Amino acid sequence: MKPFEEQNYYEMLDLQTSASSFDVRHAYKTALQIYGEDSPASYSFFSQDDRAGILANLERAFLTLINDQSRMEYDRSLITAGLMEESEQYRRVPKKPIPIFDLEETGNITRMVFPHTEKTLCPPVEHPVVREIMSKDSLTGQDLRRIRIELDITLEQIVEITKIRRGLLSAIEEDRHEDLPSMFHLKSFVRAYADCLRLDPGEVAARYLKQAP
Amino acid sequence: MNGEENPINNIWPIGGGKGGSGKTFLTGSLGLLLARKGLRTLVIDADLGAANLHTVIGVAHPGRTLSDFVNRKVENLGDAVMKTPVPNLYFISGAGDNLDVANLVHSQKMRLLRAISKLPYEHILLDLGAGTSFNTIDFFLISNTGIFITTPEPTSIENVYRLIRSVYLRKIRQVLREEAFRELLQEAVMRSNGTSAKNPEDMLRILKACNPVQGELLEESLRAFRFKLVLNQLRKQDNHQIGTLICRICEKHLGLRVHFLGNILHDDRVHDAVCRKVSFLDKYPYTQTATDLREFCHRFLAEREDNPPAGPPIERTGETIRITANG
Repeated sequence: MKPFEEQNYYEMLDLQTSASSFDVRHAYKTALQIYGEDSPASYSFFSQDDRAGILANLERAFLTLINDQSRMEYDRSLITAGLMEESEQYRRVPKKPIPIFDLEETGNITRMVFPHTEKTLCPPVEHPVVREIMSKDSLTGQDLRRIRIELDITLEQIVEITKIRRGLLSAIEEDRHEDLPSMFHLKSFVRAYADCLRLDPGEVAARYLKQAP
Repeated sequence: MNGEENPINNIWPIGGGKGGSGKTFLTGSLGLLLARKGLRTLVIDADLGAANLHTVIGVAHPGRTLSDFVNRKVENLGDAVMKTPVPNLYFISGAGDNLDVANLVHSQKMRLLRAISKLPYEHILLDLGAGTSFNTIDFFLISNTGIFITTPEPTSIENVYRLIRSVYLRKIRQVLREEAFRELLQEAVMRSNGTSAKNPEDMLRILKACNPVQGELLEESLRAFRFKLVLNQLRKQDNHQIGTLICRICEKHLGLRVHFLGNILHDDRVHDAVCRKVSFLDKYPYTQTATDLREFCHRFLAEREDNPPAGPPIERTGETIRITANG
């Protein structure tokens, strides 16, 4: 534990060296809440002189760090004293617009990708099971599911890519006709589904709709 | 230290500088909540000379008391334990006709502290008296997990700081040998130009300057503390941040780890419940204050799981630990 007077300005204000000017302002406000003359939190903790000393130090720290020019100079003095890494030095970063929506989905959203196994790498029609099913004249939901499982693709992965509700996809797979949408929508859903399995969408949709009501 | 008879228990001394800050109420409520969770809990009224915990937990006429143990009317402290109306909640009263018990002789105190740390309960809560007498502080230092309680009023905060510093100083005294402590005091007086050393943290600094090895060790033993803080009787208009800020001051200026366990809202009905001698938690379970208490108990247990009490709970005073450079 370093005595307060010996701490550097960042330590005094409990700041990271990477703090923005907004952080500095906020930290100074919090510090005043703690050390201010009328602060109930530190009542009687410091003597009159100690408090005055701390407040003077804090003010100096704030005024140094809030100004870009003086902050850079101060950082340089810390670096020469060996108290700070060169890489940590404050650089003025121009403000950028803050994105409201993460359009590129680069945030914490982890995109599911198809597993690249042997089964998925070769074209699906080369699988004997798939070929057998695709040779049929009409395709039921059961058939589609068998192909999907054969290709090692989970329903969640299809949901992720097509953005079609999971319930709808399983209704298609389970041939629950009462839960299916209108023919128009059903057709495009099946096409999207087939596309995920790398089958010919038009072909699959046509054959599926043959048996659907 | 002597772990052979020492069951795994957690001793929680609850102290605060000022009278009326709610130490007894909090001890009673926390004991009740822990017992309801099925944990064998013992509450001890260590407010010697001004005991009144029995009233809060609904034991009208305490039979055996701590003073019976101190005066050797009972040899075994376990025999002084009484059942309460609440299952799993046990109680040792500090009340008694012996007014002299407030002034414990050192050896009696040590015997008592040792006996407490050997009692087989999962949680032992110690309700301490106000003030910074040696008795209070030694009871507080029975484990390194004491709970400080304060209200947001300057008078109470002043006293709690006073208590924290007294505990700090007492710890320095425990760790250093007698003559080392005296030397340190003299050194401190010299350095501060004749005026006596005002703060224990200055003494630590001085010790570190003259004897870095001892200073380091002392700082380490101070770091081992896992104190907690509760802010009681908070009014709606009060600053809810005060507790967090107090903990930050302790961390930053004393090097003491104090974990803030939350605010407990002021409620006039507490007064009402105490007057009727009924449990506040049972009579007014749906108040904000009762919710705060339950939340406090929850955090208290969660925090303990994060930091299981390390090592033997008792650190005896009087026994000097030699920490000179060559052992």
